[in-house]
Amino acid sequence: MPSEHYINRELSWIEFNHRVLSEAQRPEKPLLERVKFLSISAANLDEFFQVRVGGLTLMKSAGSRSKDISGLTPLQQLTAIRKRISSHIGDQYALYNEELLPALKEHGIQITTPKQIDNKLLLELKERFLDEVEPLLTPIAYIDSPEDADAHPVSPLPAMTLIVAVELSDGSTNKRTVFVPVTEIVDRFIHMDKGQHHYVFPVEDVICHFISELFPSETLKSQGIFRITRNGDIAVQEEDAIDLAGEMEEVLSARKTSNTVRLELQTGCSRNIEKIIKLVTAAKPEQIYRINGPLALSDFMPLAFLSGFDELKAPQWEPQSPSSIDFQNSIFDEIAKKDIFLYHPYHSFDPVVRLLEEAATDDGVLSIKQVLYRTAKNSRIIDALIRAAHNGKQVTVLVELKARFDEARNLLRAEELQRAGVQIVYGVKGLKTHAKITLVIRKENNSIKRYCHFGTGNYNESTARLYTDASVLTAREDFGSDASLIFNAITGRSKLLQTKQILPAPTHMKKRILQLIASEASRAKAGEKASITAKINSLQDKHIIEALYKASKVGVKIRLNVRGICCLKPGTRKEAKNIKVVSVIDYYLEHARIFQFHAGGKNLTFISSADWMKRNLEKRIELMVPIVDTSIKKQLTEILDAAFKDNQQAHTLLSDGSSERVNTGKEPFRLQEFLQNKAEKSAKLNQSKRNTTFEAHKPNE
Amino acid sequence: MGSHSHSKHSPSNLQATIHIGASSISLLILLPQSDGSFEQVDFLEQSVPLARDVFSQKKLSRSTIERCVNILSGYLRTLVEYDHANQSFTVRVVASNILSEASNVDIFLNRIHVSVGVEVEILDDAEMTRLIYLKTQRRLSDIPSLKKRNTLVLHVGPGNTRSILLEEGHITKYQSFRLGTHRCHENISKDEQNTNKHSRIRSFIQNSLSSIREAFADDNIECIVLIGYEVQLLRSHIRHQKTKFCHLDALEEVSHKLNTMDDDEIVANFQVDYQTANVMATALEINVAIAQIFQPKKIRIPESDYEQGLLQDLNLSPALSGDFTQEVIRSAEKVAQRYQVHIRHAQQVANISVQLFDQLQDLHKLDPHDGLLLRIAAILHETGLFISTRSHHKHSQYIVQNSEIFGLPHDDVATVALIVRYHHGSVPKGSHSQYKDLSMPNKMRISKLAALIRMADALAATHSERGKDIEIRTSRRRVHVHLKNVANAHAERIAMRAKGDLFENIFGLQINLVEDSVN
Repeated sequence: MPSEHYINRELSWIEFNHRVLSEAQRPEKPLLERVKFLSISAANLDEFFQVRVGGLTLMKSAGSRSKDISGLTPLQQLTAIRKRISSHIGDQYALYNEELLPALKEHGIQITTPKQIDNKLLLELKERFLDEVEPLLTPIAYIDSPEDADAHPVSPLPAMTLIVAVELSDGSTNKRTVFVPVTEIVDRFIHMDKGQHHYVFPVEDVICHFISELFPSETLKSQGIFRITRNGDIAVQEEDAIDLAGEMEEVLSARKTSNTVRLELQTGCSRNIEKIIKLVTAAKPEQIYRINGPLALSDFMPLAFLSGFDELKAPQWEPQSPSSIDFQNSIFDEIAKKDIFLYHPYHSFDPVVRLLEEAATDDGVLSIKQVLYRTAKNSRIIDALIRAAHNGKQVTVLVELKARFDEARNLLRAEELQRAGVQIVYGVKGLKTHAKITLVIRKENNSIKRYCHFGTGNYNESTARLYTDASVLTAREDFGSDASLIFNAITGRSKLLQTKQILPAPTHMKKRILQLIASEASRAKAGEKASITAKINSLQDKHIIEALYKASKVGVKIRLNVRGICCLKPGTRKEAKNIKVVSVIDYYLEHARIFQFHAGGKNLTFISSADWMKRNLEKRIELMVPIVDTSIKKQLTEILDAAFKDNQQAHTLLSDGSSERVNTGKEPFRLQEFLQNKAEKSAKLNQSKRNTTFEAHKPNE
Repeated sequence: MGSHSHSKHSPSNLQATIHIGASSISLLILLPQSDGSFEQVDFLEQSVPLARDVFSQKKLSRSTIERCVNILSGYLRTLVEYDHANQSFTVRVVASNILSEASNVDIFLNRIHVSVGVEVEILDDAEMTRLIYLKTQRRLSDIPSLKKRNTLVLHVGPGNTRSILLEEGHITKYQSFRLGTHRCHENISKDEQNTNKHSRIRSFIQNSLSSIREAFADDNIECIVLIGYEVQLLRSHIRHQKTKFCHLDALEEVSHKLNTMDDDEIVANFQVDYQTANVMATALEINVAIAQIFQPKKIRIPESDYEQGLLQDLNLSPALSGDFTQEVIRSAEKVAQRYQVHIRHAQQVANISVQLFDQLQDLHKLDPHDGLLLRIAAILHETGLFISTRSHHKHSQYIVQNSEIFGLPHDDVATVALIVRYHHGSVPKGSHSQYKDLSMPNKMRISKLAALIRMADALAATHSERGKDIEIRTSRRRVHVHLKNVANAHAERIAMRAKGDLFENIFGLQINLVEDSVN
């Protein structure tokens, strides 16, 4: 396929982030909901710079001129990214300054600076500064010694941290520059409630204003606020590492000092200070972004959840108790009865946690095995695993240390688990373990029974309230023995043997997907009905895109619900005309991966931890789990169909990589609202059913 | 409440078998079911280059030994996860007999014992034969048509090839050859001058091939069953006729393809690990070469996984099963026929031996397996007559010593040879070679068995149908042998005078023959 048939991955990603931002641009949406989306778009951008721009910068400086599937070299990509991102940032701040800031003020939330308030308030602010902020600051002096070029800076400036730079004078001709990093221990905002008005002061402005409190004998000459982004994509040389855990700690500290990929300068920075910042960060002109407004909008997320402004927020949706489970029974009995399907966060994550909690104390349970990727802060799952280990269960946990930005937390919890006697495996060498799988082995009568959970999202109770993910709990034998094979392989006890149902990556999954696409194509050629529907986060794998083009060319109807990156280029070309790509951005983050192939009416349906990206299919351990229960298959089909009916939160991808809002249909239809209503309705029905049947407590129970 | 309804359960009797094979170590955990079948609980397999070490350096390298230790430690953890510590859980650890060709096998076994605390039992030839026999049996019951044809069952193992010829469903020939996948692969790997893999394999196996040709030259082989780790892995890639059997050309096709591929391609195409990919081409080429000799109409390859099947069979009681015993006896009878033994007499001695052995159990206290050896000895005791009537017992001993008897390992064959030697002539003496090197318990064993065969031979003295059934009663000083349907036991009495001495000396009982009083 010629390269013009593909969309560059980075540019496609920026388009996705633009769709996120466009939610914030909708005046009809609740105001704080708009703040949330703006903040998300900024947080996304930060990660994009650290990882993707970081990686490309590394490639460029290594002299790589290899082209991506759309035919661009790293340098060409970086240039295109800069161009697109500059206008994207322009949009972010135009929205912030011209729409959100005034609107917030109108509703009593004033984001302001010390200069704009009266003296009485200023005095109070000063008190707050001296109490809450000043003790936490650690200024770093910049010593300008031209004789020794290596002398500056004294200590490396922290990345992804706001830094206030000030030029100070002691009254004589001596001037010096001091950096005051606003580290993570300092709150970004000082809030002050004054009757009708809720004042919010970004802390960097407060620091600037009261800087003389830090340096009493000097006067402020000029100032500047900036932030450095450094390369985050440092590959772990794990083959050489004897102890992976030890090495990851080194990578974590290395990440803080690696090369600059972005320098954000807030407008209003003096020329002198700018010169010094550029010198210290070694940022090249094409890496500098001048920002007309507060830096790090990602820090604005807590504002979206400010208490007391409920009328400015989207109505909160609560996860529902799934009606398919009778919680009065043991979860084991419930799973043994039939497969259980959960679609989070519409369905609560509790049944999954419950499986582990019950397993921890159940007499029959022999062992528990689980893959942990990113866990929640006070994870009940980890608590349950620790309890299980204390109760003498054999607990094996694979903790993936290569999980991008959560490594520090993962390491901490790993140590805790280890102390409790849990057998810890730190991932598989060379592959990131991204599979979401839990296995509980239980002795029942004279038989070994396996209970499994397979999911599309992490074992994280917090994100399970925000990300849409599918879960299946099953006691089917084939799935259980497959789960055992997979754990035997990833814990290094056995080579990976042939599985019966589950398709693991990197060994079998891609091959099977390509096969399934190809067989749809042959059916279409033979005049049969053929269709493919997939809901994924990203579509980037070249072979899969090629296969989809081929299938579309011969008439296979292809519907793709792709939230983020999509390197497949839709359009009216022969090989694309049967492909429709839709992206949904809403209250929850669309995260489930569901694939369905018509297969002559068999409707082969899978849930998976993997996106259709090269890294997922070739460099990671992922699972693709076939759905055999017909009722679950029906529910997934309904979800897939609904994902293409949305005309409120959906965008259609266009051939230039950009997208336009879906405006079809007379009746408004919103996927997430539909699923939420459905879950609520069924929970309510179940509740009223339960209320009409009474069960007496009997003695000895 | 149902939450703890399953908490009370009977103690499990999980069975685990660990097999240290040619290129991998595997673990199978089974749960026996009430109907006699097994539920497979878990199966693990890890590759390790044992055969490569054995055949290229004649010893196991340090790194291989350590890898084995690591794998076994992981397996033991798996066993712990199935509550190995708390339940009645049997674990058997067996190793391929190619290990005995490693000069440092004892160091290896000690290292395993010290580090993981398990005793490794090296599978001897008889156990391997029994396992191959079990596989064959299963084939036979699956495919009734095999019983009609002359079928050669071939197992090309890592070091040796075993062959079993079946005629009308019964084993008529059994032979083992020093030809094996890894043995061949390691030897040809040294030969770097010849770059053609195919011709290197062929020239290495040439001699073994002619032995095989010779062994089955007159047997009109119509069907071949190929058993083996590699060939069974390849089965799904070999073109089959209605999925049941394949033709030689389908086998040749895949072999040809393998010969043109490098290891990476084999790994990718056949989804095997590198250890296996390495020897894949050699394994299939050996199978093809043997098949080409016989040009069978049909070739059958079992669909199951070789390794899992083997481990499952290891769990079946190692005692010889009924059918297997019959095959051992049949194989002995084949040898007897070859040396023109008077088969009716041989059978009669065998028959009486069995009765004596069974009825005198309280006296001799020997193992049932010894009973089988006695019976085999009885069948073969007169083979030496083929050479000469003078010292025929010594000729018999030599013939037995050097014959392949299906299902009997060398130790057992040596025992049979000694029993045969002492059925006639001198009783065992400390000066006799072969006998003198035995341990005391084994000397006793041989003497007891010799005493019984001598007695049986005497009871069959008339070389007729007489003395078929006997009934024994022991008193304080005598053993009364009641010969049913025999009115006059004169001939037997004379014979017993010459041959009863050993029995009387060992057991301290006088033999008293009793005729049937009815007539």
